[in-house]
Amino acid sequence: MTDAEIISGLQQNGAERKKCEFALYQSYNYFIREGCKKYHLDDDESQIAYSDAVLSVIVNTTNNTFEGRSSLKTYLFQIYSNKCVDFVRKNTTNKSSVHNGTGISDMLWQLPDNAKHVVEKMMQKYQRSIIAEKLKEVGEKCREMLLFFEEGYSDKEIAEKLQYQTAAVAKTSRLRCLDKLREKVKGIISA
Amino acid sequence: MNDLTAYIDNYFNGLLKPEEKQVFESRCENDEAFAEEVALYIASRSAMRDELLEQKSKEWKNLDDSTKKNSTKLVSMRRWYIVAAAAAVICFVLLLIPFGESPQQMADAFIKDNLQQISVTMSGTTDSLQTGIEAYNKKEYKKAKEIFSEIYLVHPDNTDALKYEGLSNLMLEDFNNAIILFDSLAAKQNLFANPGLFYKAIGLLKRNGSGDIEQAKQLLQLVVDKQLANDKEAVRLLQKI
Repeated sequence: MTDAEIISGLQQNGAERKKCEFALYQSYNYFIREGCKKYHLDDDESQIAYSDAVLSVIVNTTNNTFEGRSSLKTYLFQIYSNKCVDFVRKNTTNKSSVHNGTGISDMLWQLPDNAKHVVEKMMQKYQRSIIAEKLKEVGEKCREMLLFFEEGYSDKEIAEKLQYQTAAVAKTSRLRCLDKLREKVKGIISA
Repeated sequence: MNDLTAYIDNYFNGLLKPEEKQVFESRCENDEAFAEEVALYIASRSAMRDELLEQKSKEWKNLDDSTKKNSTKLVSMRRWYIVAAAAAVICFVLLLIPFGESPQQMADAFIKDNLQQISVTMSGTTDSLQTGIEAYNKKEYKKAKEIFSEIYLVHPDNTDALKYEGLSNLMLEDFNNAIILFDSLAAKQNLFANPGLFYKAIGLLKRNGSGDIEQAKQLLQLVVDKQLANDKEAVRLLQKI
């Protein structure tokens, strides 16, 4: 599939998008071997870093953050290399932080340095495993909706997929689900 | 819904105006409780993304593995198809190429190539022998046989008559008589080139009775070993039997 076909497919809903997601993954999965060699990652780590990069490309393509200034391959490789470096850093600096997920959240980088520093410090007490555990308790529909959003679906697309009347209704529901999760996590942390 | 959650969500989804963004960022630095909410928001979204990543990673890896397996199966199947096709081609070629000739067919081929015509020879009984040869060459084998038989009866030293009588019997497919006559010919000691054993072997191959082929092989081998008449032809026949 060409870049244009993949990008066009990723911006659709349903089976076509799924097909293009996998087509993207499959097109450059030889990067995984390169990651093992170049960054001395094991197969699983390299595969996770690659999947992480593919997921980022998917999300950035669907929300039009990817501007198409390079080929998908170049773009994916750049993100993948960064993900590998994150893995290497995590492996070499603090092995015990593995349970904190794949790395520093991209969202943190949206904050200016001072704000980022403050927030990052506060994030340390929220372990990924606790949040993941609580995510199971918010109910299947909430969980599904929250994960769709992480996958790059807009509130409008979520409304279509989960049959909400409007995007605003879907957004309100999604934020309620997020509140629900946050409250559950807060409950554990403050206990 | 908590307004604060919506506010934080709008910031990270790029929905705030620049001045609103500045206020948001400033609050992160100066308002600990607010920063705490932002930290929890980001931690939650990060954890959800990791959850999603785990799902997707498994899903893609499984799909990738099964695709590879299928392609391996396809390659394997393709290999079998190639083997089957090759076998079919070989069978077809084998059908086109005539199978190894049977001993009888080999004898027939020799007779056809070498014994259809007898060249005219000079001898003391020229007239009778020529008459017999003419009859033989006209495929009047019965007549030829009678002529050669009479000549040999009168002139037992005329080995040509004996040989031609045997050949006439061979052409009449009276193999038993032919073999007896060629046996007699082979027993003649005073011949420069005695084809008796070779012709007897041909007679045996044509008769193809029990043990005939084996005996013919032994005779042909003898012809080769003793370098008797038609020894080259004997070698060729031995290779094919």
